[in-house]
Order: sequence, then structure tokens, then C-alpha cells
Amino acid sequence: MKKKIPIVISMLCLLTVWAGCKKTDFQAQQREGSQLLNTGEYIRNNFSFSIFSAALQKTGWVDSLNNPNVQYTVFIPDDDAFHKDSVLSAADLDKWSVDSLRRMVKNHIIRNKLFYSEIPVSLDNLYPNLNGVDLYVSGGLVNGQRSLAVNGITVQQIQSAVTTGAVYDIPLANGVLHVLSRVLKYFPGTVQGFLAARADCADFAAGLKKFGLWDSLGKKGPFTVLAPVNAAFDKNKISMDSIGRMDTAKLQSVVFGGYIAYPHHIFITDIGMVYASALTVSGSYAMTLNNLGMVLQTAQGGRLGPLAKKMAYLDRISRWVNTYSTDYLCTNGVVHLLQQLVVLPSDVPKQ
Amino acid sequence: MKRCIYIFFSILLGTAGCRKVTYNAVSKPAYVRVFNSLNYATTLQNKDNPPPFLTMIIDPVFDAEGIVAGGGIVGDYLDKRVSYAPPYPLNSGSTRTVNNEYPGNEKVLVGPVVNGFDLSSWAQMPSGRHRIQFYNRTVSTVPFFQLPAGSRTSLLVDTTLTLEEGEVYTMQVLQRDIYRTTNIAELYVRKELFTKMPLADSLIYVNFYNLSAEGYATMYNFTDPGRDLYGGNNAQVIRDTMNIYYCLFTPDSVSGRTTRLIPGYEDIPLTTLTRSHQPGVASYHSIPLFPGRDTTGSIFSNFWQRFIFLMPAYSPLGNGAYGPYSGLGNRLNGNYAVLDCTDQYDVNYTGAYYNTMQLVPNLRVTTPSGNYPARSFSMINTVEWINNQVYLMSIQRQYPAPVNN
Repeated sequence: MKKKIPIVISMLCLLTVWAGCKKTDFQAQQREGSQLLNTGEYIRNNFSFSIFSAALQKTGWVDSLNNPNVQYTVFIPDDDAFHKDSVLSAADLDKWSVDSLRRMVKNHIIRNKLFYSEIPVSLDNLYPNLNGVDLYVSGGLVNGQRSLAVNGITVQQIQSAVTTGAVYDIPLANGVLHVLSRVLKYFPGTVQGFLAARADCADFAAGLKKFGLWDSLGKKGPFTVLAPVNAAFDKNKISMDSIGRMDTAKLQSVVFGGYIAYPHHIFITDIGMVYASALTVSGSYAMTLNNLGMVLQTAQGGRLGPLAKKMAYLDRISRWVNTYSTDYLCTNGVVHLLQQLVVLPSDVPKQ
Repeated sequence: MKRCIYIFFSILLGTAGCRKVTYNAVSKPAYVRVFNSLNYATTLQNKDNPPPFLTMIIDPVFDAEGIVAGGGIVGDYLDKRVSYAPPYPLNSGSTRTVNNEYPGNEKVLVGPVVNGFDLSSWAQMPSGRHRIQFYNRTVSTVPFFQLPAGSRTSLLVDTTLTLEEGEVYTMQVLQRDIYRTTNIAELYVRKELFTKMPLADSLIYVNFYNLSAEGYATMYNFTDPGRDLYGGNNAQVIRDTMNIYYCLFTPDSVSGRTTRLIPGYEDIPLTTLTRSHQPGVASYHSIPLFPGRDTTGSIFSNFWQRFIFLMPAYSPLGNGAYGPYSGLGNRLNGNYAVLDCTDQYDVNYTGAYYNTMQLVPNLRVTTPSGNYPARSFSMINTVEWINNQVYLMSIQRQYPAPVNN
């Protein structure tokens, strides 16, 4: 028995060494039976996304989004978002060709899973969508408040039972959803092309041509154009004809150049994501933007435009045509539509 | 049999107990500390510029396309500096990737104690000639060299300098001026002298720099959009030339301080501060380290310091007060300012009175040492006023370790 003691001790030592070397796998294991749905299946089963789901079915994209081997992130407009663009039910999508519907769907999808936590805390992070067009994804942090927006459209916060912080992700088996409050708008041309294509911006376009500002809008940019619609000129008794008769030798170009911020690429959501500051436009004029519209002043704070005599600051703001007439993304900038002018020819004669 | 088993176990223990540790060493090191002092706020006007979130690359290596692909020394995630640069490595032990200074939480060799001064906040770096680049990077947790190539091209500063062996360097990326929109930053390199100076350990030393961007004081003395970045109203601007006076008060504590003047230490002229980005060490000024009137054997000191910055045309009003000046609230125009160095620095005051005030920690440090649970030591301090924010950098001397008894 005595002879066996060292052997027993050695066995115990070996056991200790072996047991001490055990490598514990601390990786969390996914529980069986808790499989998440695939993206296409989730969208089809959610009543809030019935219009986008119909678009997926019409364009044959449901199967692609159910492919477990490919990951997607979908910035998905809910039904309310489509209602804002007068698409009230899935039947309204029949008015679109399948090609343009497919372009709309692919505009909202990027490859791979993009979780909110992976998005840098800075503005205009570019992620190409399936049409090959960059989406501007912005994560803001002002006064400790985080926010998220895509192409100037706010991503809705998700109510979660398990977290108290801001939640923007709907995680799925093969993807992630982020819910948008509006449909993404993209014009596949320059801001110049956008203005040329819109009949309601014809007066503004004529003025830009008159003052030699038109050609630059077809160049690289970035431009932020706040375009007054024809009705804004009508209100102030300015017509296409009177624009044609304006004397460029007697007027400063700010009368039309005051609506162009260069080199700036500003969505309306940016305003709440960074600290406010005026933009310098047309030489030395100060353009102030807010959620409602814009105000133009001289560098010394002198008031301009048809609203200059209003007492309250809110009444001096030239407002957007409506809440949805902003953030038209073009290849070289962004266009927002204004319902009132900010500067009159009589304000800015050449000295 | 027995012998075989013993030999076997000796070998087993020998191999299991053998651990090879490779000690990194930097031959002929210089000591370097780097700050990102680009403290401007991101606004609508500058939002299309790259964010002031940097990567420092020393001796960069480029790929075939000319895009930076590596470097000898890399300091990634270099965020804006915080108002206090303590006498120990900042962010150390933090699991966050963001670093408010270099070396901070980087796992690199740091400086030893040189002539009694603790250089653990300075990284060791091989002396000699180095190319130093700073790139703007996206604000994320992805390491710089894993970012797509297009995100590694936003070069902010590119310079070459010679580091001398054994010398202590403090570097900062500074905003040149408020006018330009490109090439906005420059590298400011200061070769520190405190390790070579005969500084008494019974005195507190402090020197001052105004490293603000050119034109900042005249442009933003009313309306800097970043004013509220640093905690309520405790941020403001001074003019390019200011006289500095100091007062000493007692007692001080984390929960509160009183403005009871120490007799004889009232509005003492100290120096004149002029805005400049020229490298060079400003002269150190000494302040006595008073023992406290307490039961700890006069080991614990609890006075605090107030520095009053005034335009040359103005004079202090006595009693350490800046009296009617403070009533001007926001309309100071950079003509008056007060810097309080107190244990109660981490307070977000509100109200017009406090619009005149900047707060940083006390210029002395109190720590367990030897047999004493709380013992006060003087420090070597550098006050840097950059745009609307004051930064304090403190250097501590070596002190006796606490003894448990």
C-alpha cells in the first residue's frame, strides 16, 4: 500500500493539472427554440409595414429578404410614412411600374447588418444602398441626446421592455430593421436637374439663370438649395416676365444667390443634431435654418424680405411649403422647398 | 520507481512554472504626451468638415495607392482633451476605446520618475527624427487601419521633428485661427523643463499659456455655440493679453469651500498672459503650500487658489472679489475671468455670477502617504487657456507610499 502512495499522489496531481487547464467557453449560446424570423417574413407579418410588404411582393424581393445566407439592413418606412406621400394602401402601388417600385425598395436596403451601436456619432456617414447610391446616416449627440436619421428622415425609436436607453434596431435572423417616418426621396441627378424638372420652381430657375448662378449648380457641390416655389414669387408680385427685366448691374446677386448654401450639405434633421450656427451665403449674408424654415439677414443682423417687419421672430421665418417638402436628395446636394421669399429685389440694390 | 516519479514531477513543475516574459524596451527614449485640443463645437457651418476625432501615426507606412496602412507608433481614438490632465495616466483601466490624451489608456511603455517627477503620463518613444501625422477619423470603435481606405485619407497635420533622448515633450493639436476652413490645425510642441529646474518641494508651481485660436477672443466673446459643451455656464473667453492676480482662501473640500482669505494673499500680481502658439516654456510662479490648522499634525492642507484674469486697464477690487464685474453676467466681452482651483471643481453652477468662472482641481494633491491617511503635496501645474476652456495639467513628485499599520 505504501508503495502506491506516490502513484496516488501523482494521479491526483495530474487530475489537478488537467482540471486546472479547463478552458471555459464564456460565449453566450443561443437558446434552442428562440429563433428569430427572417427579414422578409417579419415584414410580411407586421401590419405596420403592409404597404412596404406589398411592394416587396410585387417586386419579388420577399424571397431575397428571407435568404438566411445573406444579411440586409432595411430602413423601412411604415404605413404612416407612405400615407404622407398619398400612398394610402397597397392598391395605390399598382400605379407604379415594377421597375420604379423596385428602385424604391432597393433605395431602402443596404447589405449586412448595421446596428445602431455601430453607427459613428457623426453626421453623414455614407452607406451605399442596393441601387449603389450612398445613404447619409447621421448619429447626433447634442447635450447628451442621441438621435438617428437617414437622408434627413428621423429613425423612430423603438419601445423596448428590456432597455431604458434609445433603441432603434429591430434585430432579425438575417437582418436589422430601422423604422422610418417618411419614404426616402432621391433624385438621380444634380440639384440643377431637380429644379429644371419641377414646374413649380420655374421662376426660381429663371432668376438663377439671369444672375449667372445656374451653371454652378450642375457642378460638384455640395449645395444646399432652399428653393422658393412659383407661388412665393406670385405673393410678392414677381413674375417670370419681371425676373427677365431685372437689371443685374443694379441688383446684388443675393436676390437669388441667398437661397444657395455652398459648400454645405444640410438635411433638416441636421439642425437638431449639431450646435446651431448661421451659414454665410452669397458673400456675407447670414442664413439661419430651423425646423420651420429659414431667415436671411445681413452680416450686421439687418432684416430682409417680405416678412422683415413682423414683430415675432417666428413670424419672420419663411416656411417650408409643407412638412414633407424638404430633404430632396440629389447627387450634388439637397433641395428644400420654400413657400415665401427671404429677400426682395428692393432690399439689395448695388451700392 | 519513486525516483522516476519525482523526476517526472520536477520536469512537469519546471515546464508548467516556466513562463517566458518578454520585456519591451525602448532604447534611448524621449517622453511624449499628446493632446487633441481642437475643442470647437460641431455646428451647421462646419459640419461638413471632418470631425475633430483623431488618429496619431508616427513614422507612417503607406500602401501602393499612397494611403496610410501602418505606422511605428499609433495613438488611435484621440478625442478632445478633458479639462484636467492628472498626474497619472488618464483613462487608465478604462475599457472604452476613446482616449482623451496619448498615452492615456494605450498599453505602451511610460516614463519613469525623473529627478523626482512622475512621468507616468508621458509615453516612451525612441529619440531621433520622426514623421508625425494626425488624421481625422470617423467616430466609431473600429480601429483606424480597419477603416475603409477612403476613410483614412483625411490628413490634418503632417510634420517632422527631432526628439532628443531623455527630454520631455508635450504636444497639442491646436486650431490655428478661426478664419480658415482648410488646413485648420497645427502641431504645437513644447519641450518641458520642469525635470531640470530646481523646484522646491514645499512650494506649488504654476505657469500659464493662452493657446487659443487667432481671432477667437474678438469673434466669440459673446456667442460661441460651444459654450455649453463643458458643463453649464462654466466656460468663457479671455482677451489676447490679460494680467493675472491670485488669492488664497481656506478651507476647501469636495462638498464646499469658503471665501475666507488667507491674510496677505490677496490679489497678488503674478504675470501677464499673452496669446501665442510659439513653443517655449512659460516661467513658473510659486505659491506657498500652507499646513492646515487641524489635528493631523499639520500634514493636511486645505486651502484653495483663485486666479483673476483682467484686461490691463482694470485692477482687482480687493478681497479676492471681482465685485461689480461679475454682475455683467454674459456681457464680459473677455475682459474679466476667474479661475478657481478647488476640490469642489466638479460642480455645474448656474447663474450670471458663475458665468465669469472656470473651475479646475486644486493645485495641491492630498493622498494617503507614509503613516498619514491624508497628506498634502504641492504639484507642478500648467494652466492652458484654449478658446473657451481652461485646461490644467498637474505633475506630481514621487512621495512615500502609504504604510498599513
